[in-house]
Amino acid sequence: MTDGPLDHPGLLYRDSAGLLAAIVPFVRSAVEAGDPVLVAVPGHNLELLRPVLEGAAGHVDFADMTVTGRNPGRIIPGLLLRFVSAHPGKRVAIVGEPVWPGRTTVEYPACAAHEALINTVFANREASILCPYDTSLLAESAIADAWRTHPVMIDAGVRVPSPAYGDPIATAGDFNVPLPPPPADADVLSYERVPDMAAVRDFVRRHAATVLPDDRVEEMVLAAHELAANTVRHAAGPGRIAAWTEPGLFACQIEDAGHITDPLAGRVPPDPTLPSGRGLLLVNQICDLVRIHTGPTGTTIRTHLWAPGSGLSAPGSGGESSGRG
Amino acid sequence: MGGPPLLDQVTLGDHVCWSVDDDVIRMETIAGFVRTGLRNRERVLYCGDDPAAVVEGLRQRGVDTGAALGAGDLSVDTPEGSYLASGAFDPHATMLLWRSEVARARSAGYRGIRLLGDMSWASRRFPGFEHLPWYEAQINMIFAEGYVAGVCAYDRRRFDPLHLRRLLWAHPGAAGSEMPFDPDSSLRMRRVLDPWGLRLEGEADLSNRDALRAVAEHLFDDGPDVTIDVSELRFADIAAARVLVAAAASGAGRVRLTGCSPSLLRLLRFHGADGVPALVAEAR
Repeated sequence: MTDGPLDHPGLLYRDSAGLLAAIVPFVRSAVEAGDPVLVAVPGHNLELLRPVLEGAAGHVDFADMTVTGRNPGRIIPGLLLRFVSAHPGKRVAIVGEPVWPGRTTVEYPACAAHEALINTVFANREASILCPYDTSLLAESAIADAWRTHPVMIDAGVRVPSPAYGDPIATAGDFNVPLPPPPADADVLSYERVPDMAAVRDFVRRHAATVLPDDRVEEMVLAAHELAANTVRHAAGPGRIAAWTEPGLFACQIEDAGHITDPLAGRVPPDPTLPSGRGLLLVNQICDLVRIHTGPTGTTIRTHLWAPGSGLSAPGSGGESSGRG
Repeated sequence: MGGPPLLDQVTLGDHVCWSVDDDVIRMETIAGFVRTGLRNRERVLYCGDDPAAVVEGLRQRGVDTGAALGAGDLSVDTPEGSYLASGAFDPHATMLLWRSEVARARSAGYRGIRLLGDMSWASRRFPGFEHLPWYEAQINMIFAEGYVAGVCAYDRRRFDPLHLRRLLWAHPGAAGSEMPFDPDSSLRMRRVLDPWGLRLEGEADLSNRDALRAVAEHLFDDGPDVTIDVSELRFADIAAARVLVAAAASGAGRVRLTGCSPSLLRLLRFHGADGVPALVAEAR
């Protein structure tokens, strides 16, 4: 049904019955063909699918997308490519639901870019990646984006080629959009040279310690350090780091004059023989959100670390969101 | 009278790159550095341009230079008498020189040597000066033994900034006119005899990467089993962790890391440590 080895359909579903009716046969036929299967969906859909699939199919791997795939930039390297390399020589079948109604407006562009880039990263891999979209709760714009990021769509049980699908790198580029500025009460530090790195780390350590547990503080320090080190190594002129807290999260935003020209930076492991270029990959692994806005005039990167218990709600369960509410 | 406290925290085992750009601060700082050494029973050596002027500067700042020079507690030499003794800069000969100075000082009852190297000679492009970055990295092996407190003074006005940056990265510690040497944000590397290996303290980042890499290259010089205590290593960046994994993956020996922080464990895994049987990483 597809031209290349990758099959990447978007699945539009209205309710639990619609989801089950599409996923169960997809999984069952993959299991019968001997293909390894991974189902990575948000917790509520995991609860729905797991008992049915465990009873009806053979071995299936499960992941809660709101945890493993909290950061959209981590899904390709940390979940999908990892699953592929764990099963060398096999065609894999994956159900991946990276867009759910609780995704915030800050998170969403990274999700849509992720969906587009799947087409590039997996273009020559033997894989079926089925991406469910909940049409009853998601914004119409998110459904329209699904048509742009999937070469085929399954709508009301019917597979149709998507007329809106285009060059995935260009589509991902459409989600390379400016980030909101840090809030007025965010603390800011400028840095320019290698000896400033210790001050950057102290700055992040001091602010993160007010909301994060010790281990996460040190991981946030590591992530911010690597981003700031990229400024010092690659960008002309100084960088600025801002830190603040929001309900349920700790945020850092880095701005410099650099330009990240590789659209896949941080989403695929670089050649292991190269000495550097792995900083963004690590930052994606650590953080719960990494949003990048980059161009010839400069780069802004926002990182979030989820801080459970630090506010009124976890990110994604309230506030501004991409859903209709 | 206290000079600017730029080098107050330098102790035996530290190797600091000091970027100088002010002559008054320079002399005040040297005086403080020398006084600390004399007080701590370390033999103090100044090697660099115009040693007579430095002795006079020390005298004016209250150091009893006559007594210190007479007793052998202080000695001064020109670059031609130390770094360039063979007529050119020979890094191997220079390292041998420091080793013999350490041995002489220790046998005379000193705790070690306190060395201030004025590196201005290198800006005059003596033959062999191109070996300087390599030398500054390799010499960390001598510092790790814990008998030399060394400061290499580089005059920012005389060196190309790019060249100076390269030299800076070879030093585990740094100081500048407005930036005192801070052990907490520097890397301290010390030899440990039992279990055989090293102790790393402070912060390992791109400012001291070449220093760590040079020490890692010589990790197995004295045997194939090395324990590295990282319990006081407050921060390690992605490249520092890669150096540790690469050392264990080289096939030259086995590395046991003790006291790893959770973020270091993450970094080690990130670099594929799980697939390196010669590396054992123990949590803090």
